[in-house]
This record gives sequence, C-alpha cells and structure tokens, in this order.
Amino acid sequence: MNALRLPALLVAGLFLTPSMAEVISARPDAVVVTIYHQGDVDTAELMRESGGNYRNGLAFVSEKRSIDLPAGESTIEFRAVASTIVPQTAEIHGLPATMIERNFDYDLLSPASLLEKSVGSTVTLVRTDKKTGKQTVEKAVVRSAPDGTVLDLGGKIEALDCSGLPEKLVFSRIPDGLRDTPTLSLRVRAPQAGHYSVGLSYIATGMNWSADYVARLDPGGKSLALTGWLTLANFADTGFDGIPVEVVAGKLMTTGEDQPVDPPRQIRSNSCWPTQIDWVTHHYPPPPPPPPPMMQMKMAAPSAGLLESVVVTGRRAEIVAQELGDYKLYALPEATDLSARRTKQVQFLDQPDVPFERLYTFDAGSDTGEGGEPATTVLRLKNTEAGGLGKPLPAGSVAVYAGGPLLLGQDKVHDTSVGLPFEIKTGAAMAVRVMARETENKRSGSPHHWIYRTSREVTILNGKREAIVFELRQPLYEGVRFVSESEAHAVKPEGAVWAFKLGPGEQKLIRYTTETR
Amino acid sequence: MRRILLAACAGLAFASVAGAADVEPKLAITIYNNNLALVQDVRSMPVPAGRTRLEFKGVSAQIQPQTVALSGQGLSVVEQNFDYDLLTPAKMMEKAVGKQIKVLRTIPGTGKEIAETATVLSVNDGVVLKIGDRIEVLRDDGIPTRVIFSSIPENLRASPTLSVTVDAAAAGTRDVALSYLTGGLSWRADYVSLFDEGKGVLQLQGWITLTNQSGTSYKNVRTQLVAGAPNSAMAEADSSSDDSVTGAGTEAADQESVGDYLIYTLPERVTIAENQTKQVGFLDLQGVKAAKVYEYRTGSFSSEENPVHADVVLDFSNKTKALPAGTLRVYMRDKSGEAKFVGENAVGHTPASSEIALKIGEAFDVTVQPTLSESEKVSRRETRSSMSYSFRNAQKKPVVVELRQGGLWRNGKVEKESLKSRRIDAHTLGWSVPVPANGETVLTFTVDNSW
Repeated sequence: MNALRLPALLVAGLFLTPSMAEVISARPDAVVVTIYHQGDVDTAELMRESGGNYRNGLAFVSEKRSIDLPAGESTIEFRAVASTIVPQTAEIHGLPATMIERNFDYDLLSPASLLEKSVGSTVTLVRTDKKTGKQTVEKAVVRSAPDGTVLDLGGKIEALDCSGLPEKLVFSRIPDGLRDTPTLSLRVRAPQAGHYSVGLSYIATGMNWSADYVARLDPGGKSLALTGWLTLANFADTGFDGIPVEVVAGKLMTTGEDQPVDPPRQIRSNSCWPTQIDWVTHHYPPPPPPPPPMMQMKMAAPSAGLLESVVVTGRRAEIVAQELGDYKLYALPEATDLSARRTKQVQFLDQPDVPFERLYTFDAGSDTGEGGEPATTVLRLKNTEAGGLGKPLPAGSVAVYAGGPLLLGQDKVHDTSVGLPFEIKTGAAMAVRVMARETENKRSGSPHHWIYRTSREVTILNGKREAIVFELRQPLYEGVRFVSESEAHAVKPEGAVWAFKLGPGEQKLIRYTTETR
Repeated sequence: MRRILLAACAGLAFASVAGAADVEPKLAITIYNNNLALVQDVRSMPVPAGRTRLEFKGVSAQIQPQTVALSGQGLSVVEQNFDYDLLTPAKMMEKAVGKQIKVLRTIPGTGKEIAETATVLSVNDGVVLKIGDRIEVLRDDGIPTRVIFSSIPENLRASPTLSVTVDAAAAGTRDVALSYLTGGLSWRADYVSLFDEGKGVLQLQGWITLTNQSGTSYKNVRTQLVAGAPNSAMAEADSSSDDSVTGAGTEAADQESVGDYLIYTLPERVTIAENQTKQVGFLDLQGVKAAKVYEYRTGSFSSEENPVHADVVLDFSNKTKALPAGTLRVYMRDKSGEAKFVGENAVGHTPASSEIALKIGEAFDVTVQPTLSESEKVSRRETRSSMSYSFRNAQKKPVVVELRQGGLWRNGKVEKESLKSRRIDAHTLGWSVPVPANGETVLTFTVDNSW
C-alpha cells in the first residue's frame, strides 16, 4: 500500500531545494530471502552465538513493491525493510525514472536528539506544584542540550531538571530530519506519473543456516539411512512471515564490510552543578534516559538476545539442489515464517540404504605409551549414485546412531560434491588398540647437512569378535624419505598408508624407518 | 587539548557581528577516501570597519581548527579561536564563582517561594553560597531550589563555535570565504556487477557512497570526491565517451583527473544530512567482456587430507574508466532469472585499461586434492618432490582449472609432468587442467628445487 503525501510548499529560499513530492512504500508486496553461509557452520555454535548481538551470516532479500510515482522530482521512502539492512547494497530495478540519489538516514528521534535539534528554538516549560497539582507554563528558549539543558526564560537563565521540582518541556513540532527508524529513500525524477511495480533488493545480516545430518545404522551393519536437515536462524529483530526462503551452499567471498548501520545513540543528561548532596536528597531521582522508541520495541521480549523458539517442520520430501553460479541453491518447498529470533528446521535429504565400509584408523607419529590408544572408527561412504548417495552435501555436522537412540558419535561435514569420498569419524574404538613407539632417533652427517633418522614400531590389536579393516597413517612432508619398512605403504592424501585386514583377536606389527634431511 | 578562550582578547576594542550564523552559507565540499574532507564555506556578511569578531556557526563538529583559513575582500585576520567550552548547567555554575545568582526555594507543604540573592563562593564537589551574612551549601536541606542566572557567559556555547577576529579596511557587506578540513565525512565506491556466464559479459554499475558522521548537516553542497591517496599515482583517465557507456538508470558524475588524483564532481548540489549514507551513481557500463576462471593457488608442496574447493575468479578488463577503491558485488541469475548475490571482493584504486581478477567464492562442484607422493633430498641444497593433484568436477559440463604452483626457488625446474606446464614466473608454474564432466583428472609432476 502506498500513501502519497504532498507537503505544503516550502518558501523557496536562495538555496532551498524545490518542493518535492514524498512517496511512501509502506511494505513489500512479496519477499524472497536467500540465506548464505560462509564456510562450515555448526548448528550448536549457531545456537551459542545467538546469545550475543549476532550479526554474522548474510542474506539476500529480494522484494517486490508497487509505487505510485508522480511526474517530476520526488522522494520515495521504503518502509519495513529488514532492520539489519546493509544500506549501500540496496538496488532498485524497474523504476522508469532517473535516480538522482539514494539515501539512508539514521538520525533517529529520541529524547536527546529532540532536545539537541531544538537548541535555539522556543519550547514550553511546564512546572507542576507537587502539592496542589497546579501547573505553571512558561515560554523558554533552549540554549544548550542534550548534555545538560540550559533554558532562557526571558532573560532568566535556568537549568532543566536541576531544582528538584517536577518540570517538563513541551515541544510544538518534531525538528526536521529526525526519524522513528533508519530509512532508505530515493530521490528520483520521473518523466511521467504512473503506478509501477519495482524490485528492491539488498543484503542483510543476522541470518544464517547450517546443515545437520543424521545417520542411522541398519542392524546388518552394512548400510545406513542418511537424513539431512537445514536449520534456518534469524537473529535479526525483524521477521518475515509466509515467504519463500532459499539457502545457498558453498563458500562465498565476503569482505566483512557488509555491516548494518549502527545509529549513534545520544544520552540526555541533566549535568547539574556539581553537588553530591543534590542526588542524595533528591526526591525524584531522574530516571535513566529512556531508550529510543525502536529499542523499546526490541526489548519487549523478556528473553531478548536469545532465540525464543525452535520450530521443527517435519517433511518427508527431499529438496533438489539448483545451480546458482558455482553454488547449490535449496529452495524451501513451501512459504515459511522467518520470524525474528527464531530457528527453524526443514528436511532436505532422505537417503535410505547407503552402503558404507567400516574401518579403523590411527595416525602414527607420536608415542602412545605402553597401554596404547584406541583406534578411530571411520564410516567410509562414497558420494555417488552407485554408492547410494550422489547428492551435494552442504557443510555442517553429522550424528551417527546405532540401533535406535544409541549415539555413536558426531563429526563435521565439509562441503562434499558428488563423486567425493565421504568419511564420518564416529569416535574411539575401545576394542581396537594401537601401541606406537619410537625405537631409534639418530642424527648423522655434518653441521648444515644433518640427517635425522627415526624408526617406529606400531602394534595393532583387534580385540573384536569379527574381522576388521585397518588403516595406519603416517603424514608425509617435504624431505622425508622411507629407508625401510616391514611392508610397503601406499601414498594417499593422508600420507603413507598401510591398509590391511585383521581377524578376531589378531595383532600386527608394522616397523618403518624414515630419514629427514 | 588546546584551550583558546576569548578572554585572551579582552581589552581589544572590537565589535562583534551577531547573527552571522543566520546567513545560509554557500558550501563546497571535497571528500577524500581517508575520512577527511575540505569544506569551503562562503557567507555574505556585513563587516564594519576596524576590528570585528566573526562567528561561524554550523561548521563541522569535527573541524580541525588548525586548518581554518579565512579570506574576504579587505579583511586581514587578527586571530582565530575555536571555542569548545560547552554550555551546561554545571559549567554555568563554575563560571558564576564570585558572581551573584538568584536562589528560589519552594517550601514543601506550603508551596511558599523564598527568593534570595546569593554570591557563589566556590564550586568544588558542591556549591558554597553566601546569602547575606550566612554561608550555606546549595540544596543542603533537600528543599527544591531553583537557581536563576542573569546571563550566559560569552564563551560557553551550545556547540563548538569558530570565531575569527578580523581587521576590515572599510565597512560593507562582502563574501567571506572560510575553508577548513574536517573528519567524519568519507566516501567509497560500491559496484554492482551482474555477470552473464553464458554470454561472457557483465554489467557494471558504480555508486559513490558518502557517509556523514561529522555531527553537522550540509545543505545544497557542491560536492567533489577525490580518489587516490598520495604515493598511489593514478593513470590518466580517459573520459571520452564510449559505446559501452550509457547513462541509463543513473546519472554519471563527471570525472576529471587533477595531478595524480581522480576527481568526481556530483552533477547536482546535494544535501548531506547528519547520520546519512548517500549514494550517487557514477558509472554504468554494459557488455563488459568477462570470464569465470577456476583457480587453485598454492605455495607449497604438501598434501591436503580433504579436497579443497577451487576458487571462482571473475576476470574482466575495465577499458574505459578508472575505478576508485571500493567493494564489488557480483550477482548472477538463478534458474528463474532472478539476480542473486554470488560474492564480493574489495577493489583498490584501479586505473583504466587494467585487467581485474577477483575471487568471488569457491566452487562447490570443482575440487582439488594435492598429494605429496614422494620427496627426497638429492643433495644438500636440492630437493626433488613429486606431486599428484586430483582435480574433480561434479558438473555436467567440462571445466578447466588453473593450477598455480608456487614455491620454486633457485634452479627450480620440472623433471617430468603428465600435462604440459608453463612458467608463470621464476617461482611459479602454471597448468591449465581440463577436467571432464562428472569426472576426474590426475596431474602428476616432479620438480627439482634448490636454494
């Protein structure tokens, strides 16, 4: 809905701008919000961060608005934009007018700014007799404010709120330029009047999303069911109801410059003459300056700063990833409420019967002590159609459950495209122990040409009742050479890898010697 | 902080021009990138002959008083003062020491008012008054007490005020030009770039973003913006019109080049309000040739346990216009044709005809996984390293990934390679690696390196 407001003609002075029509676009007709996440986002971290003034996370808000534009020069004010708007990113499409300038004003109306902008103007001072309730009214010129208000009452100079008497100022108008909320506006020149549908888009912060996977192992222990959930979080103070929401997976380059404007806050104080006695005996200690109206609104919720609720929307449908440049875009299947200070979860992945291989790994390189250390259990999946998956997997975390509610472990998930191996570390395997020790550490050669020789022995013991697949890994660096080894290793991105099977109760000893120059 | 009080001029006989602030000044502001602006303020003022103090209200609250220069026909400057002793009730009381004030007490219960004249003896953690023969502490009894002063001391002001004492040869109204530097005003560029990958072109719009947090509003200002800073020379800008330059949608600001700086003049006078971010278009280029490049840069010979996503880099050349420093945001159309944000990066001051390569993000479907397969010290100063790079592409179309392998030192050379490399510079090798759709390419090479 648009209101067209034509202010009274101003007396055009030497430098005054010609009178301009003001068009107000009260709210968008339609909104689409696209939420990005930069790199790996963890839902638990997201929830933890929500306690603070969370401003990370980036969203692209695309609005459709209709505007009645008069011919000639006018100002269009866009109301009800997200409170975390990054004003310099605002874009307007489809406006058949010349854009002269785009402004974002955040000189906010507050008790302090009202006083400050009234310096030099005449206001009314009202004093109330505490006993009789009788009011005395006087005209006063504000000479200084807001850090201590000095009034000129026809040649008598007095301070406001310093006498201990109930007194207040009454203003006849709001000074120019003060607004209730930060406002985005355009100054345009249109060749002809008309009703236009325009697009307004901008970047806003305080919205984020994460992906969470749940892997349930089948009783056979050969396959698992993988479900994926998107968690949407809106930490901003404005919400959107019943709108299409999209999330984008992949790492976006950002500069860190996209920050919403923090309007400077002024505090009104009375700065009376220095006297402590004044305060001790003051019958009406002045209340702390009330926050500007916008802030009061924000603080209305008792749990300000915390997310109020988590809504889980159960759906058995998958969301197919679309392409957006080199990212993956997930459009939520239904319009949803992106309420202020709330998180919401929607399912996007449902893959039953994903075969996996269970293996046990250990990174050699440090001594374990005589008791040894447990190996790490890894579930190895292949993100291909043949591997029962073949879907882009956005970064997040995965929880693995076996036989109902038994949690085996949790791991991070990186952005995993189709075709990549997908490994989930579920935790320590108590029944598979590894004892690693250094058996030789020598330096030979000459100064500037030292040769370091290291020999290691690693014993792996399978205490399980079934055979296992084990991988021993030794990271490789530049200048490291294998001198000898009890069996040949393979070279993988993880380093030198010895892979073998171990029967129940079986143990194996691996010996190797490396040289570093 | 310097404390310049007008009291210093006591004894000088001069007239003061009151109401100078009521004159609407003609303003011109030149804004630099580094939170600095030069304000030129011309006011028509009646000045009597002889010594006069001119007061300038409405100057920037973040004025740098030492940079003030004033000129006017037949005027010579005697001295300049910047008064920032702000008027508050507490300051009024401090300045009233030794002077008389009126004290009006309202007796609780009866509401009776008692008015007395008092002399302020001291203002130190409380106000000590002398009323007749009595010495009292103000409001010691907690009774509501109004204090009435008869005047405001001359050098206490509602806002910091600049005053200049001039010596005028003759009386008369004339233009007085004031110029000064101030903080709180700054500008940068914001670019909007819609990239059409299919056509290999982008549309580039530039906005000048002005921010005013100087504590003052400036009305109807002729505004100039200067790009560049000392020591960063800019190439001469070619401001001739070009087919790719259109004025559609935005009003392009004039661009000129003075010395080593680029200067943009806003086409119209603007009002720069306090606490405002203002944007004016200055650039609108259509059909700029652009290409998307997948890239992986490394400076070491080492393995990565997890595949790394290739950088998505946008390559384009700004043929006609210099680009002042700012943020470039890139948008691409989604399936439904809506332009969506796909990444941003900072651009420095860029002269015209520069090639620009901006990383805008990482490709979800294009990954690189390096493996150090073998490494050996051949001699004391020579290492031979074998690398195996696995390039994977999950897209339905083939791609080419540009690998930049840095880390080569003296005598660094390729011993063998599965794809032909080229030398980018003494320390860097380059490979253009084709990766089939839904496929993988493994590049292996061995490099001899010494230092």
